[in-house]
Amino acid sequence: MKDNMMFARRTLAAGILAASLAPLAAWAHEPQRGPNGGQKVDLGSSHAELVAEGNTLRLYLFDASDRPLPASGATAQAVVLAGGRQATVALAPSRDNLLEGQGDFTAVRGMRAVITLTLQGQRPAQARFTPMDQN
Amino acid sequence: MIRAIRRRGLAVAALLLPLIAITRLALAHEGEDHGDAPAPPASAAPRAEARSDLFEVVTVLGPDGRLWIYLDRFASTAPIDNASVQVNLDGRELTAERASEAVYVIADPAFAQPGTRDLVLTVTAGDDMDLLPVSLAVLASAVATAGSSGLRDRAMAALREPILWGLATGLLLIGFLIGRAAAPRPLPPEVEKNTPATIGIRLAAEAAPTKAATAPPAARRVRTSTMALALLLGAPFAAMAQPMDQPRRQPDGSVFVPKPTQRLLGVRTVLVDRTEAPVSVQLVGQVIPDPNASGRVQASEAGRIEPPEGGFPTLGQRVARGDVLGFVVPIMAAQDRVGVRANIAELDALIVIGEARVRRLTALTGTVAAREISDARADLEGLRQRRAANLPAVTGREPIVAPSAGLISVVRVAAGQVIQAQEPLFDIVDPGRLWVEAVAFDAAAVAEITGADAVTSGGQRLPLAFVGRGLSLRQQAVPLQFRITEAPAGLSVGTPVTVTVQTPRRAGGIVLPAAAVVRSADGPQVVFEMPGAERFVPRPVRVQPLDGRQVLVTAGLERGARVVTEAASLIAQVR
Repeated sequence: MKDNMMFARRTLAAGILAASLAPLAAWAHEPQRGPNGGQKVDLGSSHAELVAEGNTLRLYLFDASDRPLPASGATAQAVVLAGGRQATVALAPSRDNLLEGQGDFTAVRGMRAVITLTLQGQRPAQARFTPMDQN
Repeated sequence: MIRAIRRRGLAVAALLLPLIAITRLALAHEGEDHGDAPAPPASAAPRAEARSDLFEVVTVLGPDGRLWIYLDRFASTAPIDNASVQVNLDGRELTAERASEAVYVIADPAFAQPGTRDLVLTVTAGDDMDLLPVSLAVLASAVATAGSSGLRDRAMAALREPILWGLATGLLLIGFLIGRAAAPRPLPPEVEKNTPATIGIRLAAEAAPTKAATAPPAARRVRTSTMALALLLGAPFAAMAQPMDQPRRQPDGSVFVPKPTQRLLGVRTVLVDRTEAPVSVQLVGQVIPDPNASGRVQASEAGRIEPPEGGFPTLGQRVARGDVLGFVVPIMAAQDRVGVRANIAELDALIVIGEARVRRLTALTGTVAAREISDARADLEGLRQRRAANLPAVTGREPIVAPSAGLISVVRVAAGQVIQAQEPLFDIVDPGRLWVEAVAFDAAAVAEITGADAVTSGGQRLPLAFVGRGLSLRQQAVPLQFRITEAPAGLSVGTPVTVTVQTPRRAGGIVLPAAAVVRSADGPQVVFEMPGAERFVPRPVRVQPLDGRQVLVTAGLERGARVVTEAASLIAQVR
């Protein structure tokens, strides 16, 4: 009788524990795949997707609800580390929500980029991308 | 009563746990800001952290206005020394210097300006290269007091607890005034004019050098003491070039441990993953001697003990098999002794006759049969042996020999002691061959044994090999015997040990070193997860023992979490 009660309590406690820990799984902000095939991460108060191809970097801007964010007036600078070499790439608005820039690098697996984005009237925000590592 | 309390405790826990979960959820999705950790304590120096799958970096703006960079491996939290750290600050490339082991420092006037600094760190350690973005918020207050951390710290403390601070200052002033009033000699007027009690220590210290030469001795003493006081207060802060923040427990229960402290504690972590591990059972046991390599020396008959040449063997003395450990002089009743003596006398007579017969027959070799001569010789030999066997009973003594090689572990004799037959005199133990005997109350749990080891109460680990189990219960328990495969020096017979027996059954969970699991102040077992570079969160876990060194966490941890494996107990002590 007593053992049964103890067992029931233990199960209850374990259940509560499991329930309280479950949100942890959803807690981490894993980088996700963006609509343009790049890596989408959180950049400041918005989201940004980086696509690297050859020597070109394309940065798509989205707001916090993943709606495209006009790129006009925004400036961005990227520090790229690819193949053991570091390069700095300036990105300029090209169309809609896209910033584009070319630099002295070749997109390879394991490449890393840190983008410093300055939206119009806002202070700069930084984010780290590994655009070639997610496939 | 107890049940009611327990039920209430359970109810409180049931209410609290979801609350914790909700707060955590709220924290995680606070706006779109991704600092999922709460801010470090307000008193800590301005700091920022960044991490990648390779590195973790903490940047701290020191009291000297320089930026201190602490570089670690991400997964293990092992410091990385002799790495190259390049810092891109507003488009300028700066190189950080190595300040001490795995600590790098960089000086730039930009750090003295309030505002947010966006840095990109390029870290090269061996073949590993990575980019790490860091946003460091430099507060105006931090800049204003940069260069005198002592002042800032004290000002902060005063702000936090103005009453205490005011009280302390008041007491200091009162003490100072009393001291001055009670001084035997009145101070010269110039000193009284220049150093009233309200002037601060700094002013006094500045004024001192210019006037010390001309001032009278009493005034000089006052100045020297104030200068000493100023030095005493200032010295620790001057010596502390690195920003030393205090580790402390945060209101949410997590623990803030700054990187320099982590280095001191030797914190190491591991990224956990779920695996399968054999289920193990813990038993209580004790060390016993190997029956094939130990001996018990007992007397075969009653008698008086006599030491051998050189005395009785002492405790811990190594003896070889066959060594004489002592002699037993048999005790005989008078009647018995007479009988033996008579027997010996009779044998002596027979031997004389036998010797004469052998002599006679050998002289006639060739005429008597060879069989007769050999018979006579055998008779004589038999008589001599009978005499030799009888003799010790009255004159001789029985030697006690060591039945096996080893160390003397028990001595129960004293010279002249009269002992009974079968009385144990010495125990001999081979320290290299010891066993462990354990009892299992659940016979089914140990039906199959794939491995075992034992841990002494002192934490010494003994690898074991299963020898066998008894089929008759001893006090309702199954006795099991194990051989210690590598017996450490100094292990004593009878040492109580905890035996961990591995069974072929397997359970899923996270394998962690036993030192990673600590008991929290509230009671449950916790491990410390490290979600941030300087933040440690206690996680209650359910733990099963695996062997003496490792445990299996079956609930309470998710895979991918970074968990402290070393110095967890030290983190648990942070208040």
